[in-house]
Amino acid sequence: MSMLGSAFVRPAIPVAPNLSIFDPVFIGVDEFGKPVYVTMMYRNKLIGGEPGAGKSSLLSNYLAHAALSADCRLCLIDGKQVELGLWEQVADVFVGPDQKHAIRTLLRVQQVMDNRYAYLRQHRRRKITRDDAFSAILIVIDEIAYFSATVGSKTEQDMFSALLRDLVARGRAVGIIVLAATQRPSSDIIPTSLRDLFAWRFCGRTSNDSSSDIVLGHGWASKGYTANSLDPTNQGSGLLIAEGGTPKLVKAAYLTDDDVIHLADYAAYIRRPQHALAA
Amino acid sequence: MSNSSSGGLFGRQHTGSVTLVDQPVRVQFQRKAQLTFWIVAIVTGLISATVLSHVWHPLLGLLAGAVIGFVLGLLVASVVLIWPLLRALWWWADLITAGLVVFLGWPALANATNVPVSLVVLVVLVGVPAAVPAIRHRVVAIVWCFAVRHRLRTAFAPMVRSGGHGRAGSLPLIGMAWPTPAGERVTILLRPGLTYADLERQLGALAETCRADQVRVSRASQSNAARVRIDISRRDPLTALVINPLAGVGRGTGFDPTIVPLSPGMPPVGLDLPDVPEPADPERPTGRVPRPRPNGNGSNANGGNGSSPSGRSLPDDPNDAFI
Ligand SMILES: Nc1ncnc2c1ncn2[C@@H]1O[C@H](COP(=O)(O)OP(=O)(O)OP(=O)(O)O)[C@@H](O)[C@H]1O
Ligand SMILES: [Mg+2]
Repeated sequence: MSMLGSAFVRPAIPVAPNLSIFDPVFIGVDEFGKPVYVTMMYRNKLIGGEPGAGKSSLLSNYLAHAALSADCRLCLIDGKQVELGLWEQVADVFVGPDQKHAIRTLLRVQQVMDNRYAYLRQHRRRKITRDDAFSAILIVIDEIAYFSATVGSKTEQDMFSALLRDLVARGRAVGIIVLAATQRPSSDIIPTSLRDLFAWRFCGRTSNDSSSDIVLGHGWASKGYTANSLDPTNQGSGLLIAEGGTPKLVKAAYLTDDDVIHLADYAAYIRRPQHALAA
Repeated sequence: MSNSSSGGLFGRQHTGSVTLVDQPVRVQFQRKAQLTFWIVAIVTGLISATVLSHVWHPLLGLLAGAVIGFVLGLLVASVVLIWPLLRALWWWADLITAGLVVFLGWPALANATNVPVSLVVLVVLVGVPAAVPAIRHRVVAIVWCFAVRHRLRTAFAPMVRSGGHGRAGSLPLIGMAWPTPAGERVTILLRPGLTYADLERQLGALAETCRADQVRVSRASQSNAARVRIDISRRDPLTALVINPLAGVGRGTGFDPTIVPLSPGMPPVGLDLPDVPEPADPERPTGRVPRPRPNGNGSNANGGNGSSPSGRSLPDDPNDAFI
């Protein structure tokens, strides 16, 4: 914290908010008005819902927490550029609509993952903890569909999906967390084998019961948990499956663009010392 | 109340009467009562006889034990016998109480004071809750909680009857209903006759009977599958904007955002259709596409399937080799 670049005139030492990626993240309130916290570490998350359901806004809540946590590195992959682009300065890697860059980034993270596992094995441990020297790596992907089904050749798309599946499957214990958003994660968009690995899901409004079941998992619509019944004008509300295993009606918290820009700037400022890895 | 009980309890069914206790149910409970009488009488009789014969003369103890067993057996058996009636009274306890309050309370009030005063009291009692929205909503929510238990029972009855369990099926025990911001939440205890799967199939019917928008069921307990939670949703409670408290972090600390370096501004080139040429034949991914602007990794330039050469020049990346 003491070594702020001398280029800055203001010598004030930034007061970090003491957040850690191991802390639960506030993402909104449930239907009883109680705050909803979600554990970030060791949990991969999938966000679905129709266009305008509030997926990217929900991502901002996670990102705000992660950005303010000095023990977390960010890899942002956003085909739409502008959603995660606001956080570019706090990210170690920012990938725009560039399939090859996305794949190279995933390969790089995969390498880190293998190294970490080798390290843990040498130390006869099974997962990283809060006190470890290396930080968690949060991979945020807005619009998975863009990389896994839209751009690039078939081989590249499969490569992307396969790499992502590997990170989702093996990354947990070494602090590699994948947070992915897409409108409708059906099997033509991302492989079912990848989709089913995301244990925690949030489903914003969908236009029918089957889309809701695709995000939340089969059979929830028949129990009355369908995102089709949400009000389309109430963006940010959705069904969350997290701890407990039963979907919960949640209204996501909202950060205005102004808040996001402020938080991104502030986070860039407080994490400058850690911000050494170049993209 | 009196009308229907005379019709149902004593077997004389006349059209238009409400059956409080069905014929088969009555027979079933008579049998249960007989059985209960014998079991309770024998068990308690034996126990008390054993105990008492230690204290008193054995013969006296035996006699006293028989009497105690008979009395207790009779007591418990009569409770079992009238159980359907007690249950019905319990089901309607809220309405009976409300009725008593209204029909006994008003004359009592009128007797205690004169007419203007009692009118004032009535107006205050009814008017204030009606006028203050917070109280009104609370009262309406509580009234719904009472109503919903009756509605659920009406909805369950045909499900139990058609459930293939015949006469043996019994209604679930319906616990207290609590108001939630969306509607009500009721916990029920399923009994043979209605299963969780039956409920899942009948969500639409439940919602209609409860005059609700939607009904959701979930297990209320990890260890007991019979405990089921029913969430009745009538309105969307989540319309308000939720502010993320993190938005305030770093504000008011004198933090100056201008010290955070931004990437240099991008010239507004290639932002409209005429500025962006059609990409070369998309079938041949190796074809060179004329690049509209120098540092363009813009989305437009990369076109439809984006297989044009990567806009960003990434010199000699070893990882490119596999593609
Ligand atoms: N939690 C929220 N509270 C209030 N308004 C919200 C919330 N979330 C989203 N909105 C509103 O909905 C709009 C669309 O949200 P967002 O861009 O997150 O949707 P999206 O699901 O990412 O859409 P797309 O699929 O097109 O990317 C936002 O601009 C905002 O006005
Ligand atoms: Mg979005």
